[in-house]
Amino acid sequence: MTVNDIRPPATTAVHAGSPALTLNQVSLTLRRRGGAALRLVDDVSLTLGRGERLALVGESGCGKSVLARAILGLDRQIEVTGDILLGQQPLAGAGERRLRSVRGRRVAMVFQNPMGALNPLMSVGAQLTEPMRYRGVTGRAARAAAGALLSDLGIVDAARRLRSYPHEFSGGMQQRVALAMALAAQPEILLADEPTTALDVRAQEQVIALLDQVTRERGLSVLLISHDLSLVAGFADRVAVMYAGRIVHDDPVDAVFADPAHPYTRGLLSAVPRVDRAPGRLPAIEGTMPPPGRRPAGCAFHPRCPRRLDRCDQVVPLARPAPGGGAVACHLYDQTEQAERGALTPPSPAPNGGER
Amino acid sequence: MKGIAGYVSRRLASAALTLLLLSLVTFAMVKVIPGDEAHVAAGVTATPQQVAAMRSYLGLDRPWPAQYLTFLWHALHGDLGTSVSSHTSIAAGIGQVLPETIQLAGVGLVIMVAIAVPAAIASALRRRRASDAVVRAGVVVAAGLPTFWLALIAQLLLATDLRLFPISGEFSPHTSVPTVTGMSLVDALLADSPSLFWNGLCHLILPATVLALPFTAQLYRALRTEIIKVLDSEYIDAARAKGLGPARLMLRHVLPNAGGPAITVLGATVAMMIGSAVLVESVFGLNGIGAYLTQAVANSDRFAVIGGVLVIGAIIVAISFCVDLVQLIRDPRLRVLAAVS
Amino acid sequence: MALLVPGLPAARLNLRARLRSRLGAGSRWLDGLVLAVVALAVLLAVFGPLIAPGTVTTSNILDAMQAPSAHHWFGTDDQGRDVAWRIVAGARESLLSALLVVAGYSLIGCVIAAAAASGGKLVDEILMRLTDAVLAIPTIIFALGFAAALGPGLNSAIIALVITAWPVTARLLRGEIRQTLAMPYVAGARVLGMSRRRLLFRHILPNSLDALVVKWGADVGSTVLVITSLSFIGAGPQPPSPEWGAMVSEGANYITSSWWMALFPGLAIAVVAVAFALLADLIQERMAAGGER
Repeated sequence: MTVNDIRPPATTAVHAGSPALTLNQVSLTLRRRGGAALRLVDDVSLTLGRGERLALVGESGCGKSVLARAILGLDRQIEVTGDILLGQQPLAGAGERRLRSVRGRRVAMVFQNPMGALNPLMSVGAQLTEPMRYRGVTGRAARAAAGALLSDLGIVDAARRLRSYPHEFSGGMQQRVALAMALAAQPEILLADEPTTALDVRAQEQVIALLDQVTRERGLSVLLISHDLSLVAGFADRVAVMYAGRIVHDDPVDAVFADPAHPYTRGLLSAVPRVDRAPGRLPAIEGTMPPPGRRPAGCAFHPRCPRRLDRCDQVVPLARPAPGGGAVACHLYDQTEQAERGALTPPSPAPNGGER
Repeated sequence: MKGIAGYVSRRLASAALTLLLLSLVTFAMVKVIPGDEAHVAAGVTATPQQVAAMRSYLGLDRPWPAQYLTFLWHALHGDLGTSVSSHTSIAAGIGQVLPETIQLAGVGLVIMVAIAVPAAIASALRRRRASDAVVRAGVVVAAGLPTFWLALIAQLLLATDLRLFPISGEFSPHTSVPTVTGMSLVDALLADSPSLFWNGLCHLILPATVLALPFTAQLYRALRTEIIKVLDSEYIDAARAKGLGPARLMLRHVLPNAGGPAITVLGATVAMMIGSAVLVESVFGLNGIGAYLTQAVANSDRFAVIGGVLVIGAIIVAISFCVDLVQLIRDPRLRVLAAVS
Repeated sequence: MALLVPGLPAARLNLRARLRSRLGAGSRWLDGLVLAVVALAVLLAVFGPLIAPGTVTTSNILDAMQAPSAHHWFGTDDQGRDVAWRIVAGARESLLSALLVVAGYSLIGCVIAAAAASGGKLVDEILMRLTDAVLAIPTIIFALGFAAALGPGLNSAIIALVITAWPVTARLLRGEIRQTLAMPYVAGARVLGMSRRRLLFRHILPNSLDALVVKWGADVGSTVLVITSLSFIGAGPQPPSPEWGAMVSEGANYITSSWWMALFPGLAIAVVAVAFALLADLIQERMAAGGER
């Protein structure tokens, strides 16, 4: 077994064929002792194409992490309704054995805290070769493969470092090791849950660059979860914005950054400081995101929205085609449809007089 | 590696210092306790001249530091003095009975681990409401039962009434085995007799279980708490996300990490078990160091008791040193701390 | 499961919180029971010998070996003495002496710990090795030695226990003190020029004593076990003392015929020991809950 046998050739055809991962009207409910059920994620539909990079952004608590974990079925007390399809294979509600065959081998996950993801008592080499056993690669071949993987990820003297323990690496290095561990069983899809949040800025850049390189080389589809929009800009093909358990906006990355369709996305972007603007007070979105169980009727964002309409507090907006080519769940875009159908009543003006 | 070698040698030096202090403490006890050693040694009916002669013979008229050094010198050479009651070597006497106690504690440890570890794993994994509270209550009760009372009750119910186990002794009456190591089970194996081994084992199970019970409860609690804490960790999450099965997860990831405090508890347990063994031995008629020492107490043979204290103390210091080494092997992070400190 | 659901203050999904809340809900009655038993035990310890009738120590062969009945709740022993009343009378020897022992070794342990923590590296090392040395001595065997020399009795048992038990307290307290010393607010206080003594008494000791207080509860229970064990083997209070361990020892001889002689005193020991252990648990829970607020 040589290094070349381990590294699959880079795919040139991006998004070819059927989607790698499909989520169709997925809802996640937490059943607590005492009967109370909490709806964490509501009616989420997403697709991840082959070789595509989808960024899932949102504030802490919007449900993005829960959603990613639900794909792998990591939290048994969370009820999953809807469909989660890996290619053609349904994952929602699958048994533990079936999920185990998928984890690592077809879908892998990288977590936020790199030190946390590594067993402090096992050598790095042992942890890397562990998932390889499921591919039938063991012993010397596995160690060689692990060493090659570490080198790929920029760790020098990889063969010797296999015997090192996690605490002997720095934070950025640990994240590389965690990434190597995720890639060890050659998955098709990588779920990256805030992989850079716990790192300093320089390490962040390095890890994202690394992620970019290795996923491109291996033709992986990537679901990148982050709350850092600037990080996402340079990496993702598409951005899905989550708010209070729902997907509110799903557009190609250029459209999201050039002219964001959803008011929430717009608010998020204007809150990011920019190099080409004079420093001053950053505009922040007023209010806070409601936690699960206390979400308002209608559009969950309406209390904070500068452009809300009358019906926003009654009717939950469905996903409509967005100007950028994706979808947006906002009543503002209902008008396009209505205008096309020739609505009888003109839409009422926004209560705070904001521009349409 | 150099750092670790330094740490180990420093631990050895500490252990040596501890043993030295132990000998000092025991010697001080002998001296401080009222009573004329010479008189006791010479016998109740001795004349004053005989007592004086005994005093100079035993070197009791020399200054204390000199006496201590002689005491230490002899102890290091394995001579713990002569028993005033039986007039035999104390070291030899202890050497005859100690293996039986060690065997009892050993079997007790095996039983303890065999019960506590699976129970802790099962309990940590299930965490169901009703059974959890019941088991917790049971554990507290088990830890609080007086060993000697439990021994009596067990003997009464299980051995005498229900006849499930033998009542006392190491073997059935009129059965014995040539003494090689002093441990009934090992000697039975050496004598190539499975039936004797089984006989000896049956006689040991009840006392060993009674001995181990309170400590089993402690180990179970410590281990269960640690396992629950570890199960909550992120690296277990990451390991599951790698697709690892429950067996591998538990054996290679959970237990090694949860084992730290448990190993420390095990080490401390051995010390306390040897103490408790005294009680169990007296109830079940086993001929271990407990019996030897109670006999010594009855004869006011303070040297024998001191000798016993010294020997057992030395064993315990050795065990705690070994526990430290085991922890070092288990957890590589400790090696870093050790090398630096 | 490092899953956090924000906005729900007490709803962390981890197991520790779940266990605690579960215990909190159903264990109200248990708390009450534990406190009641402990209070009863202490009352008996103090007033026991005063309320028990004088017949507790006198023989009455005519009544010997009677099974439990309405007249003698726990039966009578081989000397015709009522077992139940003897248990009441024996509470003082078994329990009060335990309290004395705990107080004694805690004091010594505190002194040693404070000395070790503030004395510099050499002092610390020597004291800690001394602690190790004494720790290595098995309590029961040492007490046997004491009994061999001083003659068996309550005094020798108490002294022996105090001598062998201080190391655990010393170790624990030294650890706590060192931890507290490492806290930022201590450095801050020193920078502000606080004297060492004031620092010690007003800040370090109070904060380090928390762990100790929890330990006291369980310690009393286990000390009762040790004292009774000692008298059982003959190194503690001797018959005709109504000390519970001695009672069990006497009862052992008649276990097959008059089982009540050994059963009830032992049961009393078990109940007291368990009650104190649960009390310690209770204290620990309350302290943890208080800290979180």
